[in-house]
Amino acid sequence: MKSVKEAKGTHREAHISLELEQEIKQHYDLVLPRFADKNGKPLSSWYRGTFKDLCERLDKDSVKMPWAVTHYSNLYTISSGLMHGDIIGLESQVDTSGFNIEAPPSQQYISESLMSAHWALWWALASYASIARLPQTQQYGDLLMKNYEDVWGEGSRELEEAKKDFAAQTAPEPPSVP
Amino acid sequence: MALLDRLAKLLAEVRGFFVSHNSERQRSVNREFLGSCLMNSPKTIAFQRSFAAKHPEFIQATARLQQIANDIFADTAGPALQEPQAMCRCLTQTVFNSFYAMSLLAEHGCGADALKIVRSMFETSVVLASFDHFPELIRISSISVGSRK
Repeated sequence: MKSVKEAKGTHREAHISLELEQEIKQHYDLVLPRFADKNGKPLSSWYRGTFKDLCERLDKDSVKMPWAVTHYSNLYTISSGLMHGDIIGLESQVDTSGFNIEAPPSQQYISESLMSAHWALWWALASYASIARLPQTQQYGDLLMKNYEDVWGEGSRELEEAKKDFAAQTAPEPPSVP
Repeated sequence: MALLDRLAKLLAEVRGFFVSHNSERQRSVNREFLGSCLMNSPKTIAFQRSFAAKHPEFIQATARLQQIANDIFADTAGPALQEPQAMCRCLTQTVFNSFYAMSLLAEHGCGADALKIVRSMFETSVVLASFDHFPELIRISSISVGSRK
């Protein structure tokens, strides 16, 4: 409803007829109780509680292959710091001098980004195939898993390189010689 | 009258000179900044080459991944999409688009900014997986948004 209201007075208004607006309002009122907070206002996210709560709930239901909490711990904290410019984010970008932020092009966080993005896309596509009830959901899931494992599976060259990069990034600087 | 005409013509010529001169200069400055300084700098080009040499498996897998994604989005074998499913389709497509954006940044050596994009990809993929595991979160009605067939 917010976007319908915000469309008033803009070029988008022409695409929303009175009938359509009423239909949208009807559906909105129908689902609002499900997505309302204790004050009756719509939630700002799809879920109640924190994002970490959602990851934990998802993992509890994914006994065979829990992944959300691990990725939350590894990726979310650091990327949240980068996003919001907190001390973790700043510290994560400082170069070896300790006084400057690493300037691009740089190897910093390249492997982490590739691997985590690949993982996220795999799960997004596999989840959508299942949500859409596609008859080939299982085959798509297998293909996506193989696609990921071929690159980042245990013992793969890319994974070993990524481990080396990570070790190099986190290794302490040798003491400077006076 | 003839003098006024000549004056107007002269003014038009002067204005035209400045417009073309400034826009030419502006273009060249932009080209120099965006082209030479950033995307086409020798350092960036060298990085792109090293990226291709360092991640050949990922690059190959990305081509296959794009094909799988296209197949999934084009798959019309299932039942007609309901509204929540259509919304999930759009959410999935945003993750796919972000993968493209992340690849561009990573290929140009901007890992920290690529990771910021990955954060939103992760969040959306967790939400999608939750919708799959807990369909009651989005099961709102049985209104169809039209057949995909």
